[in-house]
Amino acid sequence: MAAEPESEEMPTSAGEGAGDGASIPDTESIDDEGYVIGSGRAGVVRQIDHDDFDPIGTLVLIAIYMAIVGAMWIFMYFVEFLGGDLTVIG
Amino acid sequence: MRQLSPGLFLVLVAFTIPLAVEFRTVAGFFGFDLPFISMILFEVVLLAILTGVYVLGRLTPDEDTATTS
Amino acid sequence: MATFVDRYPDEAKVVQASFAVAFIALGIGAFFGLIQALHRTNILRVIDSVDYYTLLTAHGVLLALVFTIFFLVGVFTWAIAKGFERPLPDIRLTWAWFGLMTTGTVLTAVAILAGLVPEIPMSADVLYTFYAPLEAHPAFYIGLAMFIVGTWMAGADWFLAYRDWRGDNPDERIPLQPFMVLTTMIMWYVSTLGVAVAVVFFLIPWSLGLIETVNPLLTRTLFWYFGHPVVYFWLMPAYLLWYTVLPKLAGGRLFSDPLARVVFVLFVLLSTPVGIHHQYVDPGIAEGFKFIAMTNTMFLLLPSLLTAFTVVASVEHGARQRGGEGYLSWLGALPWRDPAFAGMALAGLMFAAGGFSGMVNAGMNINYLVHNTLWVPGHFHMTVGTAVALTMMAGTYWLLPQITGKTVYSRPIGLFQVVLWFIGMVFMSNAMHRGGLLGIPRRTAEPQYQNFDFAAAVGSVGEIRMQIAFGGLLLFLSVVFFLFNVAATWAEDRVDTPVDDTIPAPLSPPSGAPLILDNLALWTGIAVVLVVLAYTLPLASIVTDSGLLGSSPGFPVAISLEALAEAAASALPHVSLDAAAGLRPLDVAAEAAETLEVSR
Ligand code: HEM
Ligand SMILES: [Cu+2]
Repeated sequence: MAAEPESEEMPTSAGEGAGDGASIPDTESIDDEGYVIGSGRAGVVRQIDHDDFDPIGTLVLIAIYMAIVGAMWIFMYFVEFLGGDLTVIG
Repeated sequence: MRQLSPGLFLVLVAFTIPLAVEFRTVAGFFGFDLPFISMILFEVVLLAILTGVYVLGRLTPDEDTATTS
Repeated sequence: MATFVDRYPDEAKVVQASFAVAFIALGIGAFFGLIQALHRTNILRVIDSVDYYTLLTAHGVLLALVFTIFFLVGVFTWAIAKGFERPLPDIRLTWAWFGLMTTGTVLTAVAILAGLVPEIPMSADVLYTFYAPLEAHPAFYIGLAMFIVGTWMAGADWFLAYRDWRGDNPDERIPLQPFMVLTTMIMWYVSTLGVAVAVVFFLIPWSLGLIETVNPLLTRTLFWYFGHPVVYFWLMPAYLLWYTVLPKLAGGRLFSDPLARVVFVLFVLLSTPVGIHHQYVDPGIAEGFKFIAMTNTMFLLLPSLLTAFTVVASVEHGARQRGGEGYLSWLGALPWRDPAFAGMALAGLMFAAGGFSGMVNAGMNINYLVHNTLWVPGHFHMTVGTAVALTMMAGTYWLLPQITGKTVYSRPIGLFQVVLWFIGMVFMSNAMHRGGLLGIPRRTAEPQYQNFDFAAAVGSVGEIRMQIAFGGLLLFLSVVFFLFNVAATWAEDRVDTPVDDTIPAPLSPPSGAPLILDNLALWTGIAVVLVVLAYTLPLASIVTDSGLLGSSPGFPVAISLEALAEAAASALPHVSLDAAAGLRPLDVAAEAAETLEVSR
């Protein structure tokens, strides 16, 4: 990508707390005052690389999305093709 | 209680609005025709719950989730 | 620590200038949006209903074309210099395209807004889709042509930068951000060809009186040939920010560089051969062609789903690194207080909702339910009006410090503003969708037909109107806060490190991407072939049906009632008896039309 090949190593350039391991940063220092836009990486408490990362939360969100699409599709089938009672447009 | 940052609180407030606006439609499917005012009441209830969570989180923060934004 | 403006001061000036034009357009366009929202809901009417279309044209052009595209050229210039790590080849060329685009924009805007002043014999109330038979003053089309040629020159500028970089780095992978810029521009070159032909060969000569008539279906089809890819042109800068910046803002890294490249290549291939899906109800195009366009459109779901996965996974990576746990509660660990992050995340969420209504639009059979109703503005205010516009506003909070060297004036105002936009859009867009389902038409100043009751199952038309007006007001206020914040930032003093501008390397690096992905010539070739396949037959049949120049004069025309009455009277005897009895109604209409044609 564009910048910083050295950040492959993920140095602590992004700020406090981005070190190795689970050093939990001081809550107050990242609380409301003085937060600078774009410094989300200052809140990093652990490094996760490609092999340790399992995007299960993404799967959950996409499953929710698909469930909504599916439900709406079935709903539309009633409205449009069966002409049944279930309708929003009267 | 989980501690919410003001930012997260604000975003959650935003999320209550589509819920409140479409809440009547859902009720409509089940045959309840609610008046317009119920939308406002529902929104007020959601906001009250959210504010409660926010305030409680500030008063008694959990140790382990205290770092959330 | 130096940031963009210190490293590339000349480029930073061009980016600043582009953003400035974009934001001026945003301010004016949003103001007109508010007037429209209040007018068509009959809450407050400060203009004449006749002028509604002048404002609607200005709103569409200033927001959907000027704001988005000027922001795009700014971001792309930033991405090219930053990605290739070198200044642009010749800054005079850069200023030349900026100047041409701006001149064209001014010309077009003047032509539109002159419609508000009766003394000036100039108007361009043709809406931002500007196809015949609506006719504008030539200045409108000439300005547009200059604007588009300006974007072509910008693309040339970026490709020249690529050539220089390639000369020094013969074996390296194209850095991701420039890769996105270059693929987007290839798509843009392929697709603007259609609108350029329509404008240069038909609309400009027609508006100058050099040719008498045009074939409206031909200019419409050429417009929509460009009209779908343009939505991806709006979207690609937002995607660029979602893929490369959002993960970093979230505290993570891009999940996969190769996947991002695949998505952009798919957009090059599939964006253009789908335009006919905007013409599902156009007579004169065979159903089969529409069906092919629909099928291609459904294929476009693939890159969209890939994007949903990659971007959400990258954001989740950030949340996990910030200590997030669980199936859903990791969402709470994201930096929501950051307006750049929160704005983009909300924009992405709204895009997901826009995807729902987009699927309805895309289906040929269900499109008929909502075609040309208020549903459609409801849909695109979620997509271009929020996914793109809100991402651009949010991105500004991270980009502006880099190109000015100044810190953002107020983070809380920024956060409040992006959330306000989301809320306003929930009200306005949701109500527009509902109104569309009831059959309320779009593009009309007077949507309340007497003698017609729109039946609502839940709620009432009155409530829908209130929500549109209220949402429009919130949106306008959000823009006011945004512009204030931007202006106040610009007025500040420069500091050393205004923002953390590093972008961490992707989790899955570009070395994993097949080399063929970087073969831009190949993808261009395939894209052209697909376009030829999808468009040759429809265009050929449109031209054989009614000729290259067709027979439609321009509108609005001054119709004299006398001539109309005469024509009707002379048409009457042709109505044969059996036709009048309803046996051959079509023939009657055709016959009558013929007589009209002759007697005009
Ligand atoms: C202040 C925020 C906004 C408000 C209050 C607003 C409101 C409206 C309204 C009421 C309409 C007219 C619907 C009709 O009569 O058919 C409209 C049309 C439109 N809006 Fe917006 N809008 C806003 C922002 C945007 C943004 C940010 C974009 C794109 C980037 C956008 C793009 C459009 C387009 C393309 C049209 C269609 C014009 C046409 O039919 O020719 N709007 N808007
Ligand atoms: Cu389209």
